[in-house]
Amino acid sequence: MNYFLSFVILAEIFSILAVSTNLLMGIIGIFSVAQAAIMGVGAYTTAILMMAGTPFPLAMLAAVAVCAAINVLSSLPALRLAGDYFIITSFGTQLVATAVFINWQDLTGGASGLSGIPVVEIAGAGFPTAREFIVLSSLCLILVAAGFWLLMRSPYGRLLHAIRENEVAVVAAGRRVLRAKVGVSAVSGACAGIAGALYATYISFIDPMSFDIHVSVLVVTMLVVGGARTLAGSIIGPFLLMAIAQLLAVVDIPSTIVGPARQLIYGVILIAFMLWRPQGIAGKRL
Amino acid sequence: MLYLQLLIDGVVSGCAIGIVSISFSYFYATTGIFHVAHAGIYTLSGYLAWWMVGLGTPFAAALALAILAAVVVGYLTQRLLYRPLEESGATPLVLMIASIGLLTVLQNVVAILFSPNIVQFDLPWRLSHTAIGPIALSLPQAILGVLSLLLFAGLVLFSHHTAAGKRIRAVASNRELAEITRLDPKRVFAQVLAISSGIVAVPGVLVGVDQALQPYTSLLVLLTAVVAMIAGGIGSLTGAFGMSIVLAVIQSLSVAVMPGRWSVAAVFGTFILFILLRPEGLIRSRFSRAI
Amino acid sequence: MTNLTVSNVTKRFGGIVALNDCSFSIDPRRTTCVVGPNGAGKTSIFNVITGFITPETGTVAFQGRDITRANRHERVRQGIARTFQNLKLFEDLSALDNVLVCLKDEAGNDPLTAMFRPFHTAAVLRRKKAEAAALLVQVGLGHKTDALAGSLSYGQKKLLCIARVLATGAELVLLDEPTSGLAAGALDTMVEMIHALKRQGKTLLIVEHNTQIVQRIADEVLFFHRGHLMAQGTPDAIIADEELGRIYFGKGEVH
Repeated sequence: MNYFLSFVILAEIFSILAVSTNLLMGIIGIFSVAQAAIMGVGAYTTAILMMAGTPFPLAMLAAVAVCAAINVLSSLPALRLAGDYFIITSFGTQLVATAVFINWQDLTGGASGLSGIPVVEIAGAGFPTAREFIVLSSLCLILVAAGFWLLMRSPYGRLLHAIRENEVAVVAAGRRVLRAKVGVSAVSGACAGIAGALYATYISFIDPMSFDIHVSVLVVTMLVVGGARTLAGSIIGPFLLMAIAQLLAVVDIPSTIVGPARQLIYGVILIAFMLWRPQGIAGKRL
Repeated sequence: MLYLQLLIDGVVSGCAIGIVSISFSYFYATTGIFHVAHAGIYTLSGYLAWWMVGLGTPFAAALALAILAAVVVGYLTQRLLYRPLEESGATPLVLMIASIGLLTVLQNVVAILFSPNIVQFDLPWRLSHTAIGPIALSLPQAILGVLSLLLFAGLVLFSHHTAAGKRIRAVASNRELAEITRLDPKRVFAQVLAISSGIVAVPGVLVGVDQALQPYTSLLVLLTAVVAMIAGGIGSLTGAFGMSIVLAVIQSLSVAVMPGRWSVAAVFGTFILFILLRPEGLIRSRFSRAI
Repeated sequence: MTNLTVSNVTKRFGGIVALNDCSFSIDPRRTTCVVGPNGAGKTSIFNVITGFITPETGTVAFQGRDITRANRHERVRQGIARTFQNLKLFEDLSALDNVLVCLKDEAGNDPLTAMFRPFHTAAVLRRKKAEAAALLVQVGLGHKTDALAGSLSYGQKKLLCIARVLATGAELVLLDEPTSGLAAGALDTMVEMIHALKRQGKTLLIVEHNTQIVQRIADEVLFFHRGHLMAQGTPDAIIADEELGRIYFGKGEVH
């Protein structure tokens, strides 16, 4: 039972991260392979603050703010120009973040990470095990999903779609494209911050490996499999891929190649979907 | 003296990155596809050579076979992945995601078939040094430097002075026109990716001989190479090669002023800061491929 | 009072002079057609007025304010909007949403309001949908509100562009070849549409190739050739000018 709950909690956390990636890649068409790094920033922020005695709601709020700011900063080149640079910026953000997680030992604990992150407590109610934590993670996913849904059905959501379709026409209509893009990347960063705060407190241990490029690629795969641009896609993808990972854990393969085998399957899935079903299971064509 | 040695080390590793950079740039400028999987071909060729050497194949033969394998993988990548995607009207974003998928596949095939751990070539000569004055150069470094310069010169000559090279440049500069004039871009693209892959196999093997092989580090090499390509002006082979050496030397010398583990962060941090402040780039590029 | 004043504008692209010392002004509520052979600088002057290119020398003033270096979106706010020769519709959005995105009103266009004031945003959306739908009716696309822009016929797409430009609330409307590529029926609809805009009091600047249509819609004509403004005058005077006719239609042959 706990095993299943744990699966659901992690899938929910990754759904939040998939929404974050969806806002950038699906909705306004900015390539991002650094969302795990942003989530990592949120996780470390939450962990460090809580280990210093800050209550969870405050720590999470701080994580959300920091992640929104960093996401805007790291996607700023993409916001200002379309072209070759921001692919590098995105990969670069991921690599720099991982280097910082590993090397800023005083703050992050280096390669061995931070352990013993306190249990979440909100107004006297504790969330020590999966049984309680699932309430928190489900609530967060519902809030994020509601936010996404409200965003997409508002005039602002239509503006974002229009920017993806034809930016010049949006400018010619008198809209401030840069402002709209900064807004959506702040929201995207905030989602990654929520995911990070949940991840850190649920696992109670974080290290640089938890937020490296493979995780970012995994999130992209989840989004592609579920389908870009839709809310359903951002939820179906993570649940499906996490399930595949769980199934793989049951199969009897040597422990040294479990990681690579899982990655290999993700890679094959990514290629297969791009070739034969670029709209994913429940999304729109990228 | 330390600085001189660091400088030479930087130049040599810059030559290797330069080859990665020009081979990536050659395909990118021709097709506009951001071929991230290039890093996977780099890794694959290194491990193939390592495996063959382990079986007792002479090194030169192993290198040649690794190059051949890379050519085949590159050709198949264009034929079986990029071409069908382009024919189905895929956006550059989709092409790049597929490329990331292929990179993941190649890296992990290597990890599963060979080893997920760091491995070294079992070649006694890889540790022998030649001293030129105060500078020590390992034999693999010397071979790497010489071969890189030859490959660079060879690609420039090929591109500008052979019929095939000119055909490729014609396709790169105007694809629609090339289609009308029966240059057949699709075939040309496959040729270009085959050539690029063969070239990138050389540093893929030799850097492995000089240092070690690891399945997942090649992405960093590729990104440094792409940074060099952008800084040197997309489409310019000389710019890409030159900037690779400059970047590698900076990275190498930076070890003298700060801990080596920060150099990755320093290089990319500088780059990100730089393009935030000067988004038009160091040298205004002729291409602006929107993704 | 003059509406738009272009003074001594020059723009070069490499060695080519796109616009050479062009000066003219346009009065409010008048329809001015920009004519001239291909490469004459017609679209360049559009781009200078709407801020898509910045001239090397010269100024552009709108209602007495210098806008030579104003941002593109600021110009739209001040009342200058344009269409494009290649339409630039949001093909995967509905006709209604194409117009809705262009509405002058900024309400509901930020993420915080959208997420944290959902009922207010829903009300704004309802209002904007009604406004956009009214504009679609105005251009004769009332029956196509929910159709994807990409699925419309070419003539309908061009009308949708008119609805979009009207949504911005601009007084000065620049239409880049509104009638090109239209079949006879659609062409008449478009001419009728332009007359309707005139009746609404819009100031129009239109790139137009067809001299018959120029005569039907223009109060005034600007004739460009190789970046020079060769002449400004009534349609009849410009069309009667034999030299301009030779430039436009080729040597010796006057239509």
